[in-house]
Order: sequence, then C-alpha cells, then structure tokens
Amino acid sequence: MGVSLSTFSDGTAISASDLRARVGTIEDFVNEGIVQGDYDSTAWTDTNHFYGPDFLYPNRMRFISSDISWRRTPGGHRNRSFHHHYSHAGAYVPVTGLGATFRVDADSTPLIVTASFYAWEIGGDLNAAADIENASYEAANFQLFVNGTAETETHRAIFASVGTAGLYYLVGRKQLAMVWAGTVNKGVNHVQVKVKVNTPSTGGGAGSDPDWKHVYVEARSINVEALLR
Amino acid sequence: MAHLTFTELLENSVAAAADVNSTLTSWNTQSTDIDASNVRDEGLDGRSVASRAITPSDGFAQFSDAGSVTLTNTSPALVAIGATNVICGPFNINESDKEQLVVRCSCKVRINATGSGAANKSVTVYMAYTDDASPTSGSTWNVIARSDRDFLLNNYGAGIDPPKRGVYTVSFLFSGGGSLSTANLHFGLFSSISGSGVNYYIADVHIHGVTYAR
Repeated sequence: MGVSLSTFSDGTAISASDLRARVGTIEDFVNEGIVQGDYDSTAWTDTNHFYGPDFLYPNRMRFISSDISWRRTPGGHRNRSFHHHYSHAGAYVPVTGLGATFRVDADSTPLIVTASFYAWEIGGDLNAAADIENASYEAANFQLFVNGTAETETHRAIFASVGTAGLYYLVGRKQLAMVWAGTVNKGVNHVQVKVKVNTPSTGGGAGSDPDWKHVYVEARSINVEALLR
Repeated sequence: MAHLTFTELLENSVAAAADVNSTLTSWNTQSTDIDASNVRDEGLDGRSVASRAITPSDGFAQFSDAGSVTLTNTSPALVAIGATNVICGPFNINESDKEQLVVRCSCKVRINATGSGAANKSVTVYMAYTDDASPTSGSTWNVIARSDRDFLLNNYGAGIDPPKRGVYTVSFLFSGGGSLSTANLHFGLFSSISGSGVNYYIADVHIHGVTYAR
C-alpha cells in the first residue's frame, strides 16, 4: 500500500543504483501499482473523473469497474431461433443470440445477467380447449447456463399451442424473462440461455402426430455485466 | 490532498542525505492519500488501477430458490418457499457517495385453475421493502410503487380458463433521500389471489440487488 522508500544516512555514498531502485519503485506505483487503500476514503470522486466507456466489438462495453456484454436480436421471422422436436429433443441446446463469452481478470467476480425473449411452440396436433397450458403438454424449457452449469432458478417453460379455431393457439406464446446474479472466476467465461424441446407425446390430439413440434424464439436480448475488482 | 514536496539539490551545494530523504519521505506519506487533487478529468481509468483495487460496495446480495410454493392467500403476504422467506438484502445506501440501488426480480407464476368456478381470478405479485435488520413477515413493509403485476385468469368459455401461467419480472432503481430509509434495506416478494377456491403457485425465484455510485 503506497510506496515505502528507504532513506539514506549521512556520510554514506548514494550510488546510481540506489537512486534507480527508488525511482523504479515510484514508477511501479504510478503505473498500475495503486491499490484500494491508497485512495482517500472520503467521497471525492465525481463523474468528471471517470474515463468514458469503450464500445468494442462484438457488442461489449468496457467501463472502469465493469464490463457489459450485450446481444440484441430484433423481432421478425427472419431472426428466429428454430428448435425442432426431431433434433435435440430432450437436450438443452443454445438459443442463437442469447449467449456471451467474455474474460474477467479475477476470481469471484460478481456477474449479473438479464435476459428477455419471446417464445412459442407451433405444429402439434392438440385441439381441445382443456389442453391449453396443460401441465401434460409442456413443450419446452429454458434455463440459463453459466460455464455449462444450469442455474435452475432461471427455469422457464412454454406449453404446446392448442387448436386452430379462434385465437387459443396464441395463449401459449410467452414473453419470458430471467435475471441471475452470481460469481465467475478468472479467465474466459460462457453465459448462455439454452432451450430443451421436450420429447413430444403423441396421444393428446386426434391423430398420431406429435402433440408439439417446433419451438421458435424471436425478439430477444441478453445483458451480461461483470463487476470487475 | 496528496501533494509531494521536492527538495531540490542545488549546484555547488553539498547534497545532504536529509535533502534526498525529504523527497523520499514525502512519497512515503503522500502515496496513501490519493484524492481528487491527483486525478485529472477522466483520469480514473480501469487500466491504470491495480487488479482487484476496485471492490463492489456492500450492496451486492441475492436470493435464489429453484423450489416452488402453492398459495391460497387472498390478502397480500410475503412469499415463503418452504421455511424460507423470499427476501433479499441487506443493502445500505451511502448517500454521501451518491449511491443508488438497482434491484431485479424474476419468478414463475401459475394459477391452478380448473372449471368455470375459477373464472376471472387474478394473482397479484409485487415487491416491498423494509429497513428491519431482521425482517420477517411481520415487519413493516412498504410497497414498491409500480412493481405490481397481475396474472389474470380469464374465462374464454366453459372449461377454458387461460391464460394461467406467466413470468413476473421487475427491475427498479432505489435511491435514498426524503423519508426513505437507507440502511438495512431488505426487499421481499409479496402475492395474493383475488378470490378463494383457487390456488396458485410461485416458483424459481431470483432476486438480486447491487449499489452503484453515480
């Protein structure tokens, strides 16, 4: 904390190396050697003191005390993330555009994640009103994964769309959101919202088709804020 | 105010150790008292500060529970999952540092409705805060304005009661001043249903808060 420069004694020669060593200590301190305890603890900082953020590619903002990685995908059918019952059914796979990879330089770095997305299922053969948002027809689950580990409190679900008459099929379309905070360690970290299309049942509708088929995720965004130390 | 004092070494004068030491000791004492007088505009840059020199303030706390609870209360009550009240905190807002607190909450909500008797019920979920250092359901809770969300169980027809599932998500800025307390702040999740005979559940709750200096 601070510098600790030893002083000279009268009658002792001051060599060039003695001076260089002390100047070197000062250089180290001024150039990235200042630590928390070196600052006056009274409130003296103001907005004019802070260096402006850097806006980097891909979609990252670097501030003094935090980095934010953000992804945003607008609505529209061309921007959807498609997930089908015949591929990866029963397994969590990434939702395109809802993930970020970033680096932090210290262990136990606090991390804050917010994500919001619009999702629905379509294509199954359910047609009875009683099947609307029926627990037996949970078409897909979403969870946040941090470095491959599912954060189970972020679990979200959508249910199979039902029927073609009226607008009942719209009921299963949901705007989902999740927030999460935790810590990550030094190095490269991966944050990803993943979707699992559950293996569909086949007995719910009149025919033998799957009760749900295709899951779409449309307008979506994720913000990942690392509070640097 | 950290200002160094330099003792010049003059030509044709004897360089006494005390002259050199004066500058060295000035470094030793002033290098632990850095303040605004040492920082130019936009001088605080993360790349010029030692690793781990910046620490989040005390306002970083979270509550997570992947469990669920089934409820029937028609009056607003603090949500508890098992024996655990859904409360996040404590937070302390240091107004002299111009701190503000951002709180976010998200959870699943479902109305367990069957039959036309469940028609037109609605579940209301909101957040409230207290400055009780050891908060319980009996503490004095203050509603966070505009944090309430309603989940309505419309009746589309006989035996049709959608929608009955949703996600509650709010994010708000909490700052001190006025009559608001700024110490031992805790934030809790509250809910109720508009009528009896139908239960509802809340699951997969996450709340976190972090203070930021302006």
